[in-house]
Amino acid sequence: MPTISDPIDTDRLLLRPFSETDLDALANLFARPDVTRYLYEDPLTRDEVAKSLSERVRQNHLTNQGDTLWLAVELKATGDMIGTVYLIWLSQEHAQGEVGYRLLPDHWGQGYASEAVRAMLAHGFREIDLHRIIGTCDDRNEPSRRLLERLGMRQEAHFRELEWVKGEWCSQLVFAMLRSEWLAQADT
Amino acid sequence: MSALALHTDRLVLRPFAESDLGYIEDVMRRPEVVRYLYWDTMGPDESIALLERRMQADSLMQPGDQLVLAVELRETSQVIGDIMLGWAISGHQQGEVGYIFHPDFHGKGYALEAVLVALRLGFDTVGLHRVIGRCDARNTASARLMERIGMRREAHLVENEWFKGEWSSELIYALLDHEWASLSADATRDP
Repeated sequence: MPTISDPIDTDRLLLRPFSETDLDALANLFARPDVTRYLYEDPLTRDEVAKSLSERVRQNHLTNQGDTLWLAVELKATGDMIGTVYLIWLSQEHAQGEVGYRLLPDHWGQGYASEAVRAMLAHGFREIDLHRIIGTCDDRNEPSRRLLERLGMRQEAHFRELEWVKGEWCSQLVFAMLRSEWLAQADT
Repeated sequence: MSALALHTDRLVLRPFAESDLGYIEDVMRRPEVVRYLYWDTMGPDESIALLERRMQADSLMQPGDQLVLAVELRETSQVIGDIMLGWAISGHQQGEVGYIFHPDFHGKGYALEAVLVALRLGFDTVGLHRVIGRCDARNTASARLMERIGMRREAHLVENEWFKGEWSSELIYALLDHEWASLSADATRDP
């Protein structure tokens, strides 16, 4: 039986499993070209988002390797859903995971993504005993690169032209943090 | 492409055959050879199974395929190593090169000579856009080889694998098709 993730409470945010009532907010998020610029998808229609939402609603736990936990990022002050954050359990044998995030541009620059991702790192290291968590982004995605740096993750890779996406060769950065580094950071 | 024999100044690269069992047994029973491979030293049965897999890996027809060739000394016909070229399943014209050489033949530039053949195959025949090579971060001989070829170190993944009872880190080197083109142009110009 999968254990459904409890909501994660941070200073300003509530990270909680998705529900079908999130359709409007999620459709709004994925309709934005500035949100999907460095994703594999183009902006999504409401129908496409509705399909992926049912998937997201079910992805509310990390029980086995390969599972992805998708949480809605809710602003506590208003109750608005302003984005999503996820944690993928990449490997059980190697205790590896990956975090990712999408945030409505209206809310960029206020540290919400950092706050949400930091909570997901803690979740991965604490709840499923991960040894290492990575975050990746396109090498042109400045805000994302800066976010991963700010979280104290180390740039470990710059893969040149490893994927052909949206009509051009794309390069990827990989950042990572070890459990020991997270513990040291949590202590200070 | 399917396998054929490829020649360099000193080497012949050709598909594995039943008669290569002696080489496989000799090389895979050595702890120093398997130190950074994903398996331990092999006995006769495992060597036979590995040889069968090597013999089947004789063509690159589509993404996901892997080609493994025996590397033979031209002069003596002795097998001294094997070389792998994989075509990644991703669909982005990506490949990977790998190599194992008998310790008695290290330090003579044979691996470099063989890897260049694999890269030529990958870029010029298969039409790959990018070819990577990977090694354990402690495997300095392997890292040096990729650096000598002119591959770029693109990653140092820290403790990304639990390997043989300890955390291990991985280096990834890569070369793009246009970089390969200028490398091979330089090589032809130099006498």
